[in-house]
Amino acid sequence: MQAIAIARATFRELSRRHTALVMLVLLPLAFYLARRDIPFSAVVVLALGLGWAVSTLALFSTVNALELDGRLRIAGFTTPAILMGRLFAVMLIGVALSLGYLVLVIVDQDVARLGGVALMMLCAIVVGAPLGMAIGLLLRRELEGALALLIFLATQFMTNPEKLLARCLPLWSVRAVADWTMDLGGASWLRDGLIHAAATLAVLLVVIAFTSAFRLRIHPPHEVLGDDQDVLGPVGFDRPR
Amino acid sequence: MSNWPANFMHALSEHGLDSDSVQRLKSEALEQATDHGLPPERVFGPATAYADRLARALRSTTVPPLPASGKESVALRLAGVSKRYGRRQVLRDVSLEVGRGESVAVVGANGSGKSTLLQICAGTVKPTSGTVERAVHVGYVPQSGGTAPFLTPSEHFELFAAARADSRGRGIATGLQLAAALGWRPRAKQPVGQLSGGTRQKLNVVLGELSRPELLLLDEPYQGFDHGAYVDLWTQIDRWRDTGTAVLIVSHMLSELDRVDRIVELDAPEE
Repeated sequence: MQAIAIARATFRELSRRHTALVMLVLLPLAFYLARRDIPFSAVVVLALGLGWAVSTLALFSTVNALELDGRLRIAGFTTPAILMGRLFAVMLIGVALSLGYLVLVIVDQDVARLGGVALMMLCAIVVGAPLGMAIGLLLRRELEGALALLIFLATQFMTNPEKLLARCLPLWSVRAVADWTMDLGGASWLRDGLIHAAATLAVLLVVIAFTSAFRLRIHPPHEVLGDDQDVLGPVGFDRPR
Repeated sequence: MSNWPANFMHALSEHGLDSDSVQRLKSEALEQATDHGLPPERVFGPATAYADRLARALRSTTVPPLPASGKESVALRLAGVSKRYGRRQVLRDVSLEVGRGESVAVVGANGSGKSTLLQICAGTVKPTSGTVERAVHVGYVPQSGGTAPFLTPSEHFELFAAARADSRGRGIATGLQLAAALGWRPRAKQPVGQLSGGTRQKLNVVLGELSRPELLLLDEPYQGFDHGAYVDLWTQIDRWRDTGTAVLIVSHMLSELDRVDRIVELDAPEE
């Protein structure tokens, strides 16, 4: 119930940020239009742009909510409920965006494996959302977080996917699945891509778990004062009225 | 020249009175002024101030108190608590207790660690040394912030109600009732980012209280309050105390400190 309440609040907040929503739609679209004349490249940058948009959304949602989250923890929310609720909301927004882009690809491109395009977008969302959240929890500030994302994702864009550096970056799975989708590589690319996405997701969830345990921690009292304790304490305590 | 009836009605509405009551009170005020053959501002003074007095007088009989716990015990106990950030000693050897149904004020110079002390009590900051014992359910009201600017006050009530698995409807109803006790009627579709600083702080107070805490921690909660809201807050603090809640308030408003049970003064920061 707590996670649902967080997801609902996240949806409401984002739905009222109209300009941000427009930018969110435009980011992958701009990448796509810039490469539209090169079909393979256009679909790859569209999916990478989607991952960028979703990770940015997760980053800003996380950083903006840190103070609120601290209060929610004091009020009784659990850390997993807060983070999973927000992650779920951001991923669902990513899925909604990707459906629109999928229609665009169907209409505008001649792709051998349409399921592969959907898989590329899914990888971008499933990795992008926790990536933004992990960076937000680690750096806690918008500018620093946005620059960190820029380093990761711009490098991903510019590095040859066959190089080791590209494989070490979070969205390599999108490039690998793209090769299979466009019939440029065998099934091993699909397998490697999915393993990379799963491994990256696992690493990011571990980072989120560790950083949130620090950022959103409520230190337990040395003793919980319940209902059955003495009225008077050990040091000069006035009887309450 | 001011439009006294319109200002009076607006101020009453802002205090959460329904439109029928507003109309009735305006008519009565104007009739009384006519009886005296004087303009209403001469009889009652400024419209906003008179509306404020009236609304508070009405609220004192209409807002039911929170249920009393009937427990007499300690809700917070600090023993020898110190906090150090690097070489800077923020708190040194602080011991205090707050019982259920008791209000305690923490005072001290700027930089004496008042807010840090409250964060230690809430559990968001760990003391370098010393022990903290506290009740399970804690409400915390920060000096500012801690809200979502694109959500409405009712959506905040709904969200915070989920902390104790209360239904959305119950959370909103409780939140609106607590807001009315502070002389505030939230508008349905107004996001928090559009509220004034004082009204946003009223929201913070309501959110701190919404989860029915046994221990309420208030960090200078009246930032941006007008006089009426300030008086309402202290009335509310009395009500919390009377119903068994332990209240620890950081305050620099020394004029009101005779209203608390005890005062704890923190040492000035080291030079």
